[in-house]
Amino acid sequence: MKRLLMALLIAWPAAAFAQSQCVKCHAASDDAKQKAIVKSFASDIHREKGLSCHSCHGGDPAKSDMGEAMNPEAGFTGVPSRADIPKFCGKCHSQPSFMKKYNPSLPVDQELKYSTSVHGQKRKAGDDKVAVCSDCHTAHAIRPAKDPVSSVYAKNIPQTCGRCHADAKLMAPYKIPTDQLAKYTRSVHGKALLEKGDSAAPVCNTCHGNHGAVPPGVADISQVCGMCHVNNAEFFKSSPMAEPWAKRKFHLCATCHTAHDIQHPTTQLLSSENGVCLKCHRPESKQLQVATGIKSELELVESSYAGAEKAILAAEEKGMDMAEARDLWGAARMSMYQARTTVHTFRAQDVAKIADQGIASARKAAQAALDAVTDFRNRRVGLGVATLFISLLVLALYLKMRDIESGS
Amino acid sequence: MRDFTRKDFLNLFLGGGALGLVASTVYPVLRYLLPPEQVEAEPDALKVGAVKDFAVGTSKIVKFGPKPIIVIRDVKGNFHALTATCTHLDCIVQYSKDADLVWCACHGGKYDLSGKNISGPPPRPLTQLDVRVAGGDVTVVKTA
Amino acid sequence: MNELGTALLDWLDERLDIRRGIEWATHKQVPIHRWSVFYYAGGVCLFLFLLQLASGILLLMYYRVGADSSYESVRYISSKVAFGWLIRSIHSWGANIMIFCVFVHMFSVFLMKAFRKPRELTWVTGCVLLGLCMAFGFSGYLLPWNELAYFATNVGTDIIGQVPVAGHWLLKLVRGGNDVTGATLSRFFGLHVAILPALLSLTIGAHLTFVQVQGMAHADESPKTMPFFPNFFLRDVMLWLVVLNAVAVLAVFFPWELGKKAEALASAPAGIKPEWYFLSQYQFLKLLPGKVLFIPGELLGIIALNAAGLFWLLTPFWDAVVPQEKKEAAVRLVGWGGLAALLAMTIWGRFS
Repeated sequence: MKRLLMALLIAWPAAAFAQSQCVKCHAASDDAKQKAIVKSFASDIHREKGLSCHSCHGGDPAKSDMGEAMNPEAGFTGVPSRADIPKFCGKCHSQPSFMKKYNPSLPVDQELKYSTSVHGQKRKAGDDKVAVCSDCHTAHAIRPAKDPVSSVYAKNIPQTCGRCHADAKLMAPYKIPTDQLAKYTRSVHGKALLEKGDSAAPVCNTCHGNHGAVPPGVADISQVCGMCHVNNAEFFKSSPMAEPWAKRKFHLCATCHTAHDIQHPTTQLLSSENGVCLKCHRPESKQLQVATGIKSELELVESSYAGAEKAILAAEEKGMDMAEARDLWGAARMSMYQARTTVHTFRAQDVAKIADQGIASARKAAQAALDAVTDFRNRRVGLGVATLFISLLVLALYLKMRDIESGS
Repeated sequence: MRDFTRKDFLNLFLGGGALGLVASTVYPVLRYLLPPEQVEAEPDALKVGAVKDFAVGTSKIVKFGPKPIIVIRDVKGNFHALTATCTHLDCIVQYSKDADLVWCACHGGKYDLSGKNISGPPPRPLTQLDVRVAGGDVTVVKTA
Repeated sequence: MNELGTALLDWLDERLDIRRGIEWATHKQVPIHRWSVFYYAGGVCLFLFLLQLASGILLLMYYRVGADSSYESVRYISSKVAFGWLIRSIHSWGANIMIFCVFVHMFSVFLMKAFRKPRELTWVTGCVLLGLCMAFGFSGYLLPWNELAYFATNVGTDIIGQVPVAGHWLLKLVRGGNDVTGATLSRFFGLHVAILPALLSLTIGAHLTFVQVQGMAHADESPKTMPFFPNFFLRDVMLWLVVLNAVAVLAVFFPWELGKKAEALASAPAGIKPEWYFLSQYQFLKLLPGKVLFIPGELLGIIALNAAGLFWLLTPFWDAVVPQEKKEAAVRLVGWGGLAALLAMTIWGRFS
């Protein structure tokens, strides 16, 4: 009985949709566009929730006469103009009492936020080309952000934003760069999301906001990056760099790490030849000496870590159990990460303190691996000795046996 | 004294070989039976200290077998124990007294005191361990 | 030295009549012919059993059964305890070689027709020993509680559930619950270190007593023989030493891997297969269609395998009723046919 009820509940909106006169006519239409709309709406979240064409466009789906069904006087609104779309969607999405019937946890401030965004502001000023709801969410194939096929699913967002922002022709009137998508794709975040599939990696809207999208201001950016990179932001704020940075209105993080092209940081950033410090400091300055000190400390922990891994792999290849060395190696990696974070204090001794712990762990791990390889050799020697004794005994037994048999 | 015959030589040879064999089996066995210095890894239970060692609103990272765990005494004075390796990228998590939750400094992941990942990048919760307080001692026990 | 030895022998002889035993052993004759080499197979099995007993007892010193401790303690044995890796590897390699030798022993006895009267019971106890050895292998395989063992045991015990009527009950009995869990581990441990050793020791005792009472097969009709003691016995010991050395070489050069700890929620590793001595049965069951008429294929397969096992066990009895002129052909057909089928299925199972 329960199952039957469930089946009915699922089938009901589909049935209602199929019986709608709108669908009957538009699906049979000669116009390919109309057919496509009907087809794509079949998987739209709104249809799933029991809504149909008339819920947005008005009209009467029960009437078979076209004039009656699409009578503007009876409430038919037809296709909204681009300019009207935010208001068109906002009819429902800005109404808490209405939305709560479908999804009480869904926010209802999208229209309001949109009006504060660059997109919203420009549209208000009469620009008809800027993005409206349907540009990002599609018009008739709208899916929730958690659905992997949705145009606003984390992994699909770079392409969705890039559809306009990577198009030089479209962006030309606004005089803004169009390389963000390309840069993001090769950045550490883009790789984490698109290559490694880490859906926790930030996408466009993580930093820029979605409905209220604006470029983050100088003051905001440390907040945005600091949401995830907590310690880096904290360290930086208490570092000697914080004050001059604020005075000169530098982008807190982007000054060294760039904005969209953020790469996995290497010690090259601290290089006295082509590092980022040179943007302000002279190569022979005291500050560059500090940078060089930090750089060599980081390089030492990195090379100890890599060396330990090599030694462990060599021992594992010989079939030795390296679980304990692996734990030490993991501790070294932890310290290495922490030391890299501590760079944002710009105090060499702070970095050294943590890096040294990592170096010590890595050395212990490497030693354990070397011991294991020695042990591996000793096993063979031991086996050789035992084999020698056994062979001697077998030979002696053989001679003894021959003695006995020749005697008898 | 009689001559050293072929038979004597053979017996000596035989005895030597047998002795060698016995030595090369008994030595490993005796070494094996001698327990190693380091007691067995990964215990079922671990005493992490006395109750008085834990001030309210503090935490301690200890090794439970090969893995680090975090033992927390929350602001209400209750004990919690969780695996301390963040499920995002294996950093070690820490307890925040102000927020009364566990967080990871690497990418800002947050967990509640039962280990559930509540915000940030962590994809999975931390594993919870049982904490037993008896006779003034705090013992962490693997959840069955 | 020699005087002391004689004195000791005298002392024992006065109490246990030991010289008569030795005397008897020297009279026991081992026939010499071109298949004599197979007379050593049984002795090697016995030696390997003793090796398993010794290494198994040593492993017990550190092994702690339990879903939380089995894997950890085995890892402790093979990485922390001095020579623990050696003892564990010897136990694992020894087990496999022992089962192999039991097969060699069994087929050689079959093809030499050594099961015939008066040795019917020796044959039957031998078959029981094979079954016990395989049960040893199956139960021991789970004890490290690693991924491979866990899934192999899941698949292996699943088959028991196919038995009609009592299947579900039997499955619960074997697994100690509906699934393979720590409870299964406890049961298999008990089976492996208490029940099976007791049964195997008793059966080996009977098997050896029968051999001693009956003497070696074909000894009466063979033109050439050698005394069991010391001639055959010395050869036996030499071979045992060679086998011991071979096991040690394998243990050092190919230490038994431990793999990953078993986890119920992890997905089964790809290409998982049972141990080689179960491969032929596994392949046979895999070949059967889902349903034959209306009987599940797997059930039919289990019935067929059991019937084949019973047929093999009862060899001396059906052989006795086969007409004289067809006897040789029948044994040859069943022996070589069985061996070929077993080998073919095992190889097929290995490479499919």
